[in-house]
Amino acid sequence: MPQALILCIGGLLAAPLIGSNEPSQPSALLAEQHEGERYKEELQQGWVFFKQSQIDRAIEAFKQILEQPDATEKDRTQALFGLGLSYRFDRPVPQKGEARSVFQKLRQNYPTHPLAPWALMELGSLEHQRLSGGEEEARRYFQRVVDEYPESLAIHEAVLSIVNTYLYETTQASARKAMDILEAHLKAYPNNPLNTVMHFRADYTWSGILLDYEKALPHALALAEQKMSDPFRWSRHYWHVASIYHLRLKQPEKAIPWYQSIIEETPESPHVFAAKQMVQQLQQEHTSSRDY
Amino acid sequence: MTENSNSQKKVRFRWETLFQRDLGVCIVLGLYLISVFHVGRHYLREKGIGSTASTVVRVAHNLSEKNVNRAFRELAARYHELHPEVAVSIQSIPMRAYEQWVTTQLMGDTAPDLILLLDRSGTWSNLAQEHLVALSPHVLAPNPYNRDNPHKGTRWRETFVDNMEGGYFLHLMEFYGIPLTLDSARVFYNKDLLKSITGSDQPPENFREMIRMFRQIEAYAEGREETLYPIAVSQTDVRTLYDRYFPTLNANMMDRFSSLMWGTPANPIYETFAGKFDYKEPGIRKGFELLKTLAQFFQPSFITDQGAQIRFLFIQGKAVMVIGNTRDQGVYEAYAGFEVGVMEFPEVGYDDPEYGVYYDGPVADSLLATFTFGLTRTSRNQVEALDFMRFCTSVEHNEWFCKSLGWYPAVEYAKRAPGLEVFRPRVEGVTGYPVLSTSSGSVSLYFEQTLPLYFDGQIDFDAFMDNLKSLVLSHGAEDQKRKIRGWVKNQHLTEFNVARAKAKMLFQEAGTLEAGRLMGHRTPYHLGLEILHLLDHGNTSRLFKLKEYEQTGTLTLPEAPNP
Repeated sequence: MPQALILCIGGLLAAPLIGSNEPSQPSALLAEQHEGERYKEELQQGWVFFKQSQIDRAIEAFKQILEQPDATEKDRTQALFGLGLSYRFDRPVPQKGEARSVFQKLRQNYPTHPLAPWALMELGSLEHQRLSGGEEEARRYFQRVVDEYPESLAIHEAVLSIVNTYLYETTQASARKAMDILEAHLKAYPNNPLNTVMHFRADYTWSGILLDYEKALPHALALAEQKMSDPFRWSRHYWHVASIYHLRLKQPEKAIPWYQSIIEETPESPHVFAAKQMVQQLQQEHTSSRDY
Repeated sequence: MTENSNSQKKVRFRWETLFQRDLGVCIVLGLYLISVFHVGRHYLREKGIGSTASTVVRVAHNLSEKNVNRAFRELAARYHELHPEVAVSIQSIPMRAYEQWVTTQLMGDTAPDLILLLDRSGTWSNLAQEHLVALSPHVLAPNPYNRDNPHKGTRWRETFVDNMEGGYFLHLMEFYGIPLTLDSARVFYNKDLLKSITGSDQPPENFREMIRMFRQIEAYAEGREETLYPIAVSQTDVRTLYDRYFPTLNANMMDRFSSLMWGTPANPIYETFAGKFDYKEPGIRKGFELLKTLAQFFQPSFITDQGAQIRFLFIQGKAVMVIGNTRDQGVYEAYAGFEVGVMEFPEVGYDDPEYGVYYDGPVADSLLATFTFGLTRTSRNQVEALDFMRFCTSVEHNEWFCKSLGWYPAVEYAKRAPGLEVFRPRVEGVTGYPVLSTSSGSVSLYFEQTLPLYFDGQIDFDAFMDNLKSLVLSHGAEDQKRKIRGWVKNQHLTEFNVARAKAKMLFQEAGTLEAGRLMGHRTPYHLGLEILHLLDHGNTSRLFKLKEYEQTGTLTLPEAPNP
């Protein structure tokens, strides 16, 4: 009897791993966390300096670790990453060349390390200048993350970054390309840790740039369900969903529940007064049209 | 004659000769001695004569009113009683010089421990990132000074009526400021004068009645020797009145044209490019007419008058009403020799014979707590300074401080002084109205400079709107591009904060990445990416529109349904 119970429990635990037709999902958000080994305290100090914007001291701290002959791979990879970030955010002027060099070294010396795709992400970010070009070069790095490290969490941020570079090209064709990529990724990984950011980008690109509200709607609804991280933005987004129904798709009866969500979930938001007015107005219109 | 009297005569003679011969030296010496005296007095005051304090926490703000400084010093004294080893020194810097003074002090690493923050964007955002201590780890812990009230054990930020949003810098994803009060604009009135002129000291119930009262006051004042204005308004109050009345006649307008439809007030720049926005739409025309109606009752010098001048006019009994805010309540209670009433801005209302058909509702007050203090990174007394702020924002002491000044408390459960009910922030109000001035650039400059001239009758509505539209069409694109460049430049700050969060996500030694730590229910990594993409979307959607406008001379926006 106990053996059967163990088998049952084992079966239940193993079930999610067997026979699943979904693409393999990357690990949960915090499962990739790395640790130092011999120089944990020194690494800690380096990060304290970095977080406090004492970048010159952070650079020194991480460099010193790299100079230690007995630093292990765990220490070196973390120190390299910290050094690269410190160069990238150095003040008053970022040391982009140095940052590139450090992240290239990390990726070349440790190509199979879990930090390698994150190093590629940094290299891509260093290329993308937003208003000054670099979109294609940046995309090359981000695409390598997706192609070469499909199991890494970094692929989700990489896809968002690829989409962003297309959108900064500001052509209709590039915007549509961005949407194709984003929607394909959301279809493959609907529950990925960054799906709310993806739905945000998809909704507001379809509605705000491409003016296609039917394509925007599923993303608008998904984002409203999952909610943006900042509660002060919820009412604004609910209003957006209600307005898509009311003003663009001419389905005012479907807008009413979203105006009501503003009243119930965000009672102190700037939209409450207007939401109450809209509910009253639309209910009256609905009643009048029924009577007619 | 004795030897002594001879030597005394000689000494006197030398001093007199010195004074006569070297007047300049004497003056310089005298000034030096005076400054030594003041520095010494300031030093002793800081330290406290006979004080046991080994630590001095310095606090700087920009209010010059004696009652404010007195209340601060009393608060500091109460803290010193509890902590004899800490003295708190309060410094008031003139308002006009404050921002520059703070910037210089921060750059020179000589800033006080705590400084008043004037804004959460632009220069102040950069100053915060570079020079202030991020308070998030501290605001998520309970305030130990709340041990005997309902906030015992509550996280410090949740003890504020606005959850400390007034001190939260969105793009930096950090709390940098600790607020002390809530501020709402209202209208103060001289009850005694109002009664003697109109027969009642009751405030007007609506806008129409207020105008009737103003006419009564004008008629009363005519032919009298003493000056009397219906209402005193300062240079900045012109904008306050515009923000109070214009939106009430133009709410929910922007969603008709907006591709985003966020239901928020918005600048119609892109709608102007698309040829869809009518600057002379009836609601807009009526909004400006209403303001002009008000303006005829202002004092003639309103275009140049500052806050101090209009307060003076009111206190002297030369204006029956005056625009002010919560912080003026204490000033008038202390200095006005008459009974002072306070009212909300009288609403137009749906029944108004002229404007009622355009009226959409009232304007909400800001719910953000204000009079916010930041902790400087160069402070050598960070622990003590932060503790002092916890003390100030406990229920007991925020209540005491605000009651003593007649201010509205920022901390929940802190009781208001009697008579402050009228300052309770109005939560519900209209939104979605057009913002005719952008936040910067030539269009904004023109609007801000011309609005008072319109009030003063120096330019009519049609000319104002024609010029504004013309400027938007000729300069609006360039203004927008400049703004986008500024936003992109500042995105580096958000990227840095994402990098900090990412480091915690990837490395144990970088710290713990906690969900719900800052804002909402996700990690700072997730929140940071949301903010970055929010900013990027703002940039790209504007860039798309600007590109289309520059290439085709027009812009495609959604069809606007009939209002």
